[in-house]
Amino acid sequence: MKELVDYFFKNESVVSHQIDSYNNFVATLGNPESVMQQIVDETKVSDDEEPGLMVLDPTKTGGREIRVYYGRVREKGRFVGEPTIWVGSPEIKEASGASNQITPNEARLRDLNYMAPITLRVRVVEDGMEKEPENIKIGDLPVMVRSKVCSLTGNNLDVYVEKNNGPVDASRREKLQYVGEDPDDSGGYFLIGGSERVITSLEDLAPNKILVEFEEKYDSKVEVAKVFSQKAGFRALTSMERGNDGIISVSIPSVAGSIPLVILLKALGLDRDVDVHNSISSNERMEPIIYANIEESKNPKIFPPNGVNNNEDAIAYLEKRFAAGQAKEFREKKVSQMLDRSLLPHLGDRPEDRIKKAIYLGRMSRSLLELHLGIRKEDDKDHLANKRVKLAGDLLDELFRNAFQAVMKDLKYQLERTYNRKKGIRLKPAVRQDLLSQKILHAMATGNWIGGRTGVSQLLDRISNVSTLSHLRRIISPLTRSQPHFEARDLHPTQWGRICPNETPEGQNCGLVKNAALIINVTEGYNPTIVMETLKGMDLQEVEGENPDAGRVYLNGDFVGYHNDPAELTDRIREERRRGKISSEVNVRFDDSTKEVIINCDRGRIRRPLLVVKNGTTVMNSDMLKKLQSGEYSHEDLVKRGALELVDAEEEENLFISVYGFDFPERCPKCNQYLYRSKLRWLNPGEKDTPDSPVILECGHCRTKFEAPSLLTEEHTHLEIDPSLILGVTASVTPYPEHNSSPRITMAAAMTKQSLGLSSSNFRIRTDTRGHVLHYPQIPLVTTRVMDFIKYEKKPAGQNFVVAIMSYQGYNIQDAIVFNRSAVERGLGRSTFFRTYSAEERRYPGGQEDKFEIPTHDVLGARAEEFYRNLDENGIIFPESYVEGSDVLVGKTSPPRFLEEGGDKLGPQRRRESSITMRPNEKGFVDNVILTVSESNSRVVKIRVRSERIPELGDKFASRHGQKGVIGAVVAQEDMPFTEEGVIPDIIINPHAIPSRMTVGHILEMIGGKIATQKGEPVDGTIFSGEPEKSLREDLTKLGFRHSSTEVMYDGLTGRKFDADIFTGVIYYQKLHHMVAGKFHARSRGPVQILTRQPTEGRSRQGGLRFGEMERDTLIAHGAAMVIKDRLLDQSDGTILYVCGNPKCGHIAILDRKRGTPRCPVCGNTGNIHPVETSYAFKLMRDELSSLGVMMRLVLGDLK
Amino acid sequence: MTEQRRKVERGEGEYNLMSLKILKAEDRFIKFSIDGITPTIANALRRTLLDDIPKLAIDKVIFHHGQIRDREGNVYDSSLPLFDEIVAHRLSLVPLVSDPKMNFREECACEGKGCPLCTMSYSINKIGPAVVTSGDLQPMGNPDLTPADPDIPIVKLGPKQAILVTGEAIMGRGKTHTKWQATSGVFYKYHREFVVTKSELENWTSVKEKCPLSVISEDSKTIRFTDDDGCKAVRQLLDYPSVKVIEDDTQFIFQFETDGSYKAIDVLEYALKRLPQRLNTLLESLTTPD
Repeated sequence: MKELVDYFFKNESVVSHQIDSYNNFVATLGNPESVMQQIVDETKVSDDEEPGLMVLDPTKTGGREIRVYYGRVREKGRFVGEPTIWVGSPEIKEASGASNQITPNEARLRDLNYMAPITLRVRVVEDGMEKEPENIKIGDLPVMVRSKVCSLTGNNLDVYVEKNNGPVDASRREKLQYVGEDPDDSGGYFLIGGSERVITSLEDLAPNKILVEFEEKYDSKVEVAKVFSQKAGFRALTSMERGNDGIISVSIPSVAGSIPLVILLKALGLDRDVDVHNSISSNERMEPIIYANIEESKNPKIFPPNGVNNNEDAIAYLEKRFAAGQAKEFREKKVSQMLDRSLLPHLGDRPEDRIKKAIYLGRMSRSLLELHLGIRKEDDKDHLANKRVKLAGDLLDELFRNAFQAVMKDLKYQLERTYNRKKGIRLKPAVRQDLLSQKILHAMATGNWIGGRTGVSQLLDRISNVSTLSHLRRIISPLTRSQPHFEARDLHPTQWGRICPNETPEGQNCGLVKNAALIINVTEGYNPTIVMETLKGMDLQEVEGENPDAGRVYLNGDFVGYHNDPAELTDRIREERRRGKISSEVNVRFDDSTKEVIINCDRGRIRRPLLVVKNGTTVMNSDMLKKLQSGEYSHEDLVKRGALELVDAEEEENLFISVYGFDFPERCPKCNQYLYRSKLRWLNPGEKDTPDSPVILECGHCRTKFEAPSLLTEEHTHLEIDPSLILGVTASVTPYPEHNSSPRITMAAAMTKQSLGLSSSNFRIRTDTRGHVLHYPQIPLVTTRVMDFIKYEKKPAGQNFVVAIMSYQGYNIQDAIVFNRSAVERGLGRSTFFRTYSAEERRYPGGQEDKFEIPTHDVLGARAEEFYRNLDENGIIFPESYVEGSDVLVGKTSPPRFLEEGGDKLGPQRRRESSITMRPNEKGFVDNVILTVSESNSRVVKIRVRSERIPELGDKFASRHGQKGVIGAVVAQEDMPFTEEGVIPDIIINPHAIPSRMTVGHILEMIGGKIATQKGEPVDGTIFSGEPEKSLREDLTKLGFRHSSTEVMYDGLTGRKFDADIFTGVIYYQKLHHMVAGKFHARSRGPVQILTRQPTEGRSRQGGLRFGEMERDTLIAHGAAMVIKDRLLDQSDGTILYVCGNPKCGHIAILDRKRGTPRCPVCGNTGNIHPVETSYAFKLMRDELSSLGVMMRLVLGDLK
Repeated sequence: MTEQRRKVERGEGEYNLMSLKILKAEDRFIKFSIDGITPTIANALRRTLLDDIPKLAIDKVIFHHGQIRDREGNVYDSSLPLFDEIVAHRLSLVPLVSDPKMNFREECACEGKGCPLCTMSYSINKIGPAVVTSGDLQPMGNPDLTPADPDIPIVKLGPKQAILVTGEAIMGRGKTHTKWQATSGVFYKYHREFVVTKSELENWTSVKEKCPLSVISEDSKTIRFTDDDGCKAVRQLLDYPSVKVIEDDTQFIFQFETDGSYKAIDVLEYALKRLPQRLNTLLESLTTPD
């Protein structure tokens, strides 16, 4: 059903999950149910206040009762009414005081934050008198590019263009170009300080869900039940363990040790033993264990004085254990803190909620015992049903919740502090806007989220368009990379269609950093109370007493009741959902073995779309397809009509999914051409009159209709939309991946992300610090259908090379590549490298500032005049001038650093030279000079320098099959082999690269490319549905090639024919951004570090090349003592020390300036002083020891 | 090494004569056969054709930066959609009709300064929106030395953009840079015959049907094909083990095209003259040890 995918991507981009998540989060006037609004409604300023309201301390307001409402009104447990918080359009407050709406590109160029103001509507009630509501700005929120508040989205762009006198009648693409944006840019990222930042999605264990498993403890297997209880950003792990003696104990966060279950249950209010028993037992085999536990708690020896018999005993035990010896008041507070706050916070934090917690704990222990008795299997932690993904919106939720609370607390403090009886309260000046903005900005700029997580926001990867998209779809696991976590890294069957099986890094992050599959949907969360009401209408029985015959029903991991026919309930929920009566966010599963119905409607479940199958055919029919095509329907309409379903990993356990809807003959019955799934169209989906009525297909070659057998049966519940959707965007770029060995696809996916091409069409007005652009990017000759969806053909990253597979004089051994010099000279693989330098006229305290100018002689550290010759009178370089190593780009002077600088000289202070220069080992032409103004109204200049990168020895190239190599030789065209048609290959790769790596896809792509050049149309190499090998071979012979794709070739050096025929073809090669020009380095002498006087490290500092331990070992082995001395001393930090020769002194001598002779400052000796050659590091050690009070004497003597 | 080639190399008997026959000649295309030479000599000719034909190509491009005004005084921007080095590279690869009598700059009487005998200048002056093509290169000097094809796109100008450049073309050889390569698709192949015994290969008729008569010679038992004509159908026969393939590495089919800077036949003539010169250079550089 490839058409369906086509229609899907008409409306959706590949990063829409990020944008949808942000849109769901951000508060706007039209969306009172936004996550931000919910946070505002729920926020309490202090623990004992109502949510959404703050009451000022009457002692500080002169006895008046002042209530400040900022949340919405609560009615029947739900917040209703107009939104009280909303976010405006992104704007910048200039230094002049004016606020202007900005676009993403303005933010990029001026190093601004792309943020929009947050307005909060506050009602003040003073002694029962309600005042007029006030709108106050509480801070700024970073805006996701292309989200609904972004200046580029929908109507916002039209408004912006009209306001700024732009081309009002232009098309949308032209308007985007007018504001300096790439029309095909996906958005989904933020702009912080002018740099693009992504909030990567996080994968985590599902909260509020009981997971039971075995754990190895002290060499024995114990059963453990765990639950990550989460409420409103607060997360607490409660775990329960059954020890070897059968006693179940519970551990609670922020409480030391573990508490016996029975005592905890009694403390929570299950006063009687029978209540304790009933809350746990579900099976008579459990009885002995439960009795043992109850007996244990009654043992006076363990729990003196009388054992724990009731609620009072239990509380007393807890008080004694955790707050022994403290005042009664404190003891009570401590225990209530523990039971109400730390224990299972998602069930509530009031004493009334304790009984719920007791029932929940009972259920936990029941699961635990069921595991022990073998009734239940271990939960699979790596099953996607037990995982949730946090997208940008969810992570911002955490951040905003924290920041908003801080602002409101501060507001309360400020209001109380500044309260003035006459003037009343004044809200606007009391709000500290920057508190909220800075908290959010700081987290976004550094990636350090609350909770100590790092690397949450990352700099967007702009190497190629594919790497950008892949970065926006990345899902990272918080598991530490250093530990093995083998199971967590393994590919799990539930990842099918949700997470790309191939795209993951190699090495330490393998399997922990993942990427989403092509079409996924992440749930936003749906109100469970609404679901609960529906369930009650479906004969759900209350949780009262034990009902062993009925099935249990769980909602979001919560046990909500029994049902007599759980299977029927499951079917009914699904039917209602398909009819639109229940939200499509609700997913349900029936567990046959435990008769449980598991219903989920929470946030963060990864779901995938499937076609619903009924009575052996799809619900979707050709009529729906037509309406989709015409745009009348979107895929949501299919969901509403029950034809398409989004299923999570939990529900998928119940389904029987057919991968294909039909089988088909090898060749078309009419035109006899080879058939493959890309060339077939299913004409009658959803039409099946009799059980064996056939599928009608249309041949893509000759448009003939013919019948084929259906693969759908009565048992099937769903049909896969297209099996190619299991891959992610990067892996989908490789053609014929199903013919390759799996690790090679993974490697290819990693390399595609490093390939140079056209990463964005506005590259000439962008100011990325580094960037590349390929001069002649080409669309691959062998394509995949997925390329249409990610617009690969608009942003290609590679070229089609004519390739021969043979050895060439040994210049291509070990994956080297021999290049044709003429091809290189004609422009093959050329690219341009950009680097942007920037300078700002910074202001300093005291009214001084930097100045762009040509430094004059009297400036401290000024260079000779010729260094400034390319600068104009403002000190800024001319565009298109040639610059190289250390040339000045911007002449700049700064005020003196210290006021006392300049020493004893009087007169005016000299300014310092602080020009911006080229990096020492780079050269190029000045491409663009941008002069603009920063947020603080100081001038900023950005200079982009470009340099051409022509392929040279050592540059790295790779095909799309994980076959990478560096250039081993650039050979003149006349020395290259040639065919009997005069074709000379662009590159020659080594035959040894193929057999052990089994990249058959590489071979097929070469053949496919060869055919495409002759036919003049691309070959389809889509996974599972591309043109098959047989068809390619047939095409080869039809086009007059040999079916093996080999050619007779002649040696360009000797002129003789080769004995063997050479396999040749055309294949897409990518230039990777590892180029010699950015890496080569050598030095003889150069800069040294100030402290140690040893050579600096690294190419950018013209560093030395380390002569390491192993290199030193070789010289020792050779006995080359003088070479060692040369390397380690003379060419490093060798210094001459003057040492006092007095054997009782042995200090370092100094040069007495007045007399011009060396003198020992300690013993005063002037004659007996000798030069000693040591390493400066030794001198440093001597100094450090002396600072510790350890005297080191150097006793000199002659060499013997 | 075949017996025949040994005789050719020694110049024995009937093999001491080599012969060149032009099979097909067009303005920019030529196909010919040479018999009675060895692969080494054939290759020497091929390499001469590729990298040793002097030809004119743009070697230096001077861009006007800043504002450009047209006659009405409208102001245009000299920034181009492509980088200057890309435009320069594209200009350098434009084939120019060349005069073989022109001097190499380093051998010229002007001592490398550049004079009309060794240098040819071109200019482009165009305002956007337009596509600048090779035809916009205006020769300054000898009006015959125009671009060989006028329709090669160089750069696309947007509105308010203009280009004002001059380019200096000098003579050079393909071994220095490919822009001085006058020929393309240069190759030779051995003369080859496929002897098919009719009784051993069933589908010989299908191959025969696809081939022109000129490549077939037939008797009652066998049928012989040659792929010298470039008949692709014949090539399939390489894959049948029962087909006997006879290759003669003393008979060569040559073919090449020119980029339009010269006529193909002139290039061939020059190459044949150039070949002994190259060998003489080698001979002259030989010194005998005292």
